[in-house]
Amino acid sequence: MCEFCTQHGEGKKWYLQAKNYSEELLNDQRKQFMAEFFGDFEHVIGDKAAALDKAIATDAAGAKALFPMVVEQQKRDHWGQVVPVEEIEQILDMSLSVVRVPCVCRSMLRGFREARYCFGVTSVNSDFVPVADHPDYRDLEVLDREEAKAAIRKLDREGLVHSVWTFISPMIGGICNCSVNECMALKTRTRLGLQTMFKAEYFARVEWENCNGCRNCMKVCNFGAISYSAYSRKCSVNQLQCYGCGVCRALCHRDAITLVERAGVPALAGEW
Amino acid sequence: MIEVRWDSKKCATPQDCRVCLDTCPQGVFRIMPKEARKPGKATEDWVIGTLFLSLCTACGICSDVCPKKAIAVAVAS
Repeated sequence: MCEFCTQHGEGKKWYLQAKNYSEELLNDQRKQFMAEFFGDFEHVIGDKAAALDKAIATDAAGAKALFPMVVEQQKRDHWGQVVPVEEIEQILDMSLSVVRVPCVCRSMLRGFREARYCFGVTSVNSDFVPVADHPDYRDLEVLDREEAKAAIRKLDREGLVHSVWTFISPMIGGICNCSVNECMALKTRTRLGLQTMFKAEYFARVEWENCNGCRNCMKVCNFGAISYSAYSRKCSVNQLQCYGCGVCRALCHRDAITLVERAGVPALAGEW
Repeated sequence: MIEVRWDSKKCATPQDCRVCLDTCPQGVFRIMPKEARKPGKATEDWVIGTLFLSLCTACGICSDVCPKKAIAVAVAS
């Protein structure tokens, strides 16, 4: 279990703990944080990230010395964790309302302003939706639970990594579905080496007898964690590179990939 | 140090083109409202900037593909 599970999970995985979606957490401070976050993402978040990147380009060692401080700040304000699709479904089962909104990262990094990959979730019936009235974001789509699940399953088959995000921890407000080069968090983590989120509570394992070496899993892995042996005609997962998102399973025709609890393997239990 | 300059005089509507954003293999660019976003007002002026400049290799593909020749890449010593 990750440190958020210990702090906020009360014996469960923290993102399956209903209180982390509860009404009393949705206070004015968080509403203001979300309104600023989404209201001017390109400047509020973009400028901060650009400044950090510039510091890396100018003085890599000096900038990296600041990373622990940045990580602590992120953990307080806006922290994420990779979550496999079946647990995303459990989260949706706990949610009373789901809205689908355009992804702010794809908007900023690619100029796709209608890329609806992000889901706002709460377990309260709230009329608070940050920047609902802003024309740049256009209409918010309200989905019922089954529609939301079907949409997430579809994104899973497209190989997108699911994650949950806090808006001032531990309140979880959103589910993201990302590819690595279009996501601020995954990109910052994988390319700049700044931890912005935890890996999943799991890692993937290829069941050797079932694998026929088709390499579909390699095609969708966002982390380059799967390799192929031409000699044995099998795929295998680099456990240290694997984020445990589990999207590789969706494209495997032979049910050859399973997720294993990170906590059960000592060398991986602290690998977040 | 690598410098990537985008010229707003040559590229007036980056939000309708996005070729640099699509093409950059390293994903160096970002597009953003010129001014801070204001409630109830749709953004009209968008600008191209860099966000992951530390990943830029100065390969020059952005200036090659830009239909307006609005991007210049320079390597300063």
